[in-house]
Formats: sequence, structure tokens, C-alpha cells
Amino acid sequence: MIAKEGEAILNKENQFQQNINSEDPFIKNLYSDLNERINAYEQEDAVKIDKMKWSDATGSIFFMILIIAYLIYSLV
Amino acid sequence: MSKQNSSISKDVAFGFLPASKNDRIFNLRDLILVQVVIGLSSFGLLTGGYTGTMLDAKQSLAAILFGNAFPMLLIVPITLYFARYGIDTFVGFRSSLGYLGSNIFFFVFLILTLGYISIALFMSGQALAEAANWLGMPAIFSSQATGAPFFSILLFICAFLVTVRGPVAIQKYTAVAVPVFMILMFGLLAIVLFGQGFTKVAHILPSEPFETTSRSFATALELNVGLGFSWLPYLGQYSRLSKTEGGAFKAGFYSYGIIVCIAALVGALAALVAGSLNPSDWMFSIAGSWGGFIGLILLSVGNVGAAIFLMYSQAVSFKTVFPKKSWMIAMGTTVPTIFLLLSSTFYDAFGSFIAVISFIMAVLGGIVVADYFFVKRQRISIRDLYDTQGSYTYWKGINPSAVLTVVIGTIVYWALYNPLTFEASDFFLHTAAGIPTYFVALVTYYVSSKYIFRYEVDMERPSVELKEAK
Repeated sequence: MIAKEGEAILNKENQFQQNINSEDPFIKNLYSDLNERINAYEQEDAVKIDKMKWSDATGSIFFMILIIAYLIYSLV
Repeated sequence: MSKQNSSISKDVAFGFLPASKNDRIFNLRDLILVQVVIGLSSFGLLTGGYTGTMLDAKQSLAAILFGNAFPMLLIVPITLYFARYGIDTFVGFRSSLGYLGSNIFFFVFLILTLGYISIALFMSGQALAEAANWLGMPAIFSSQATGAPFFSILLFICAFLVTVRGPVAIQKYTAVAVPVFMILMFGLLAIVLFGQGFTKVAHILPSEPFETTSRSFATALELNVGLGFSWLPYLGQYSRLSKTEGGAFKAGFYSYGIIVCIAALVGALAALVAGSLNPSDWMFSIAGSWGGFIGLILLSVGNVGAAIFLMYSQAVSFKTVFPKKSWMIAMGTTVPTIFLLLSSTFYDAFGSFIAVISFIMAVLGGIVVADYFFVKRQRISIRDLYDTQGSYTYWKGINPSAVLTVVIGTIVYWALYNPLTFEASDFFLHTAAGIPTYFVALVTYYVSSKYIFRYEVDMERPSVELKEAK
């Protein structure tokens, strides 16, 4: 399995390059843009967004507790 | 390139590429609004309708709220993945399902969307046949046996012609259809609650309950759980454009988990009052003669808007997964809907359809959440997501752990509940089937990835370069 993964990595550049060199202008532009975007993500800071915090989930958990309480009430 | 093709190409590129900083336009409020517009739909009305024929108002509310909110709470963490990397659902799922596996999942999404399109259009067809009957038109138009298929296929052709012209035409139609559907829903809710009185509605008994209340409750809950899980493939569409991960999480839960319950609640109350699960039957018995006629027209316009949105979403998703295919081929994937509109067979089997969706999406939800949070621990290589010969190839493009999980999840679900014959085990009466299936899938996938089908990409310190967003 691991050997096959290594082989796949070697082919990586070829596939991207093939699409960037495509004669179809739509595919050529799409993959050129894709390459730029991926580079930006790999530099991380260019596209970094605020990460999830536990406090972001408190409202959802509170609503869920209310719903479970109502569920129990309706079934009793 | 024509203006229409240019707009479509722009949409395809927009869906295909990882979102840039400038693409991230949605704060929490924007994201909730855009997802609510999709979520408040005919399928919500119909799921509520089924619920209201089995349970009274108090229990319907409990089944609808829990059935939609809890599954959403279980799958909504995956929005963090889409938000962090700015990727669409079918690109994102390549890391857990494999490149080919994700494409196979895309075809499940196609079937789901075809089903939803046909439900929306057939409901419109039934409404127009009912309206034709009120207007005294010939039997071929006014009978449900011939009129509903005729009008629904006619509406499919209209929706196709609008959708094929691209986003500009769609925006014009949905600008009308979305408010129309809102007016219909809140109008129905107001007429039921203020016209009938809350106390009276609360005491109406359901028209078609099962032999025991626990069986009715578990079956109604399962339908709502199915609706809750069915949003899984749609979660990536907009959360990738969120400004923050927290915003994507909260918007997913509040819009698909809580606010969409309004449509189901309206459906349940209307079904209780009218004694029928079918929205086209509700209008005259709830809103009177002219009110009923207007309601039927609003229902049709709103549903055609939903069908157009779904058709466009399906065609653009097809182009995103297969960018080299033409726009007409992408639109052609919506044509099989016509076969589902030829009679009411599929529409009448909505309960089975949504239960089948429940089990498929519960299993897949367990897989993708387990993979991203517990197996890969949020370490993803975005380059490999797009390189279809990259690290997520697994076995010939399919992840064996995902296949094993689907098999075990299927066995567990069908042992608990058969959505085609409605046979249920005793355990189903206490837990329903979709939620336990989700947890079985989550654990199975984790165990399989860590101990059975071990790939380097799933190991703690993979040798391939994986970038972790900080």
C-alpha cells in the first residue's frame, strides 16, 4: 500500500502540469488558478481564518439540551 | 464565449477552486439566511405532513425538533473542514472516501437531488391539478391520475429551460419563488394557529397512527432524522465561504437543524387539521375557497423555485466533479426526474425514500467525521485533494475502510428498521435507526482505518507532506 502511495506522489506534478498545459482554455485557466490557490493555502497565512472555539458550540449545545428536555416532557 | 457560458464557467470555477480570502463573504447572519432559503422546502412540509398523520401536535413538535437538530449536531462539525480549506463537499470527501469513492458518493447525491426535484415538482403538479379541478377544467387536467403527472412534467420542462440559461435567469426566478414560499408557510401557520386556535389544534388526534404510540413516534422520528442527515452533501456548498470556522458551525446547526423545522412544523399542524399528509389537500380545507386556490398557486411557484435551485446545484456540482464535461451533459443529469414524475408511485413512497437517505447519510456522516477529526486529526493535504493520483488514492481510488463501514452500517440499519416494508425491531422503538447507525459507522471507520486497512496517510506522522492549518 505504502509503495503505491509513493508512486502516486511521483506522478503528482505530471497530472497538474498536463492540465495546466491543456488546449482547452477553460481547463488551462482552471488548473493555473488552482495551482496558485493551493500555493496560497500551503503558505497558510494568506488564507488563514479564525479557528473554531468551544465557546462557538455553547449555543448549539444549549438548544440541544432544551430540545431533549422537551422530548422527555412530551413522552412522559 | 457567450455571456451565459461565461457565467456558468465562473460558477464552476468558483465551486471547484479552494475559496480565496476574497471569496469568503459570509458572516454568521448571511450564512444562516442563505442556508435557510434552501432548507425551508417542500420536503420539510412533506416530512412534517407524515409526522402529523402519526402523532399529535405536542409529540410532532418533539419528533421534528429532535429529529432534525440532533443529526445536524452530529454531522455539522464537518463544516469546520470545508471552512478551513475553502473546499466543496465532493472535493473534501476525497480524503475519507478516496477519489473514486467521492465520485460514487456524488452519484448518491445525484439520486438524492433527483428525488428532491421530483418531490417538489410532483407536489406542484398535484396542486395545479387541484386548482384545475376548482376551475372546472376537463378531467384530463383536473384528475390526480393524469393531471398531476401532466402538470409536473410541464413544470419540469419550464424549470429546465430556466436553469439551462444559467445563474442570471435563476436569480430572477428565485427572487420571486423564495418570498412566495415564505408567504405560503407563514400564511398557513397563521391560519392554522389563529383560525383553528392553538388549544383545538393541540387536541386533534392524528389520522393514520400506528398500533402503538411508541411505534408512531419512532417512525415519525426516523423520517425527521432522515431529513436532518440528508443535508450532509449540501453542508460544504456555503460553509466553505464562511469568514470563520465558528460561523460555519453555528450557521449549519441553526439553519438546517433548527430553523428548517418551521416548514416541518407547518406541515405537521396542517396535516393534523386537514387529516391528510398531502399539501395539495390542505389548502381548501384550511384556507377556504379563494384562499385555497391562491395557496395552491403559491405552493406551485415556490416548489418550481426549489426545483430550479436543485437542478442548477446538481448541474454545477457535476461540472465541479467533472470539469471537462459540457454544460448540456451536466444539465442532462437532471432529465431522469421525468421518469419519477410519470405517476405518483415515487411521491407516495417519500417515507421510504427519506428513510433510505437517512441510512446512507448517517453512515457517510459517521465516516467523514471520524476520518477528519479522529483518524487524520485535521491534517489534510489540499494539493492531494485535487490531485486524483495523490495520497488519497487508497485502493484503486476507493478507501476500503469506508467500504467496510458502509457494509456494516447497512447491516445495522436494516436489522433495526426496514424502510421499504416498515418492519421494525424492538430496539428501533427506543432509538430509531439513523442515529445508532451513525455511531456504529463512526466507530467502525475509526477501528478499520487504525487497525485493519492501514494507510500511511492515516498514520500519526505520515511521510507524505501534509500541511496542517494553524
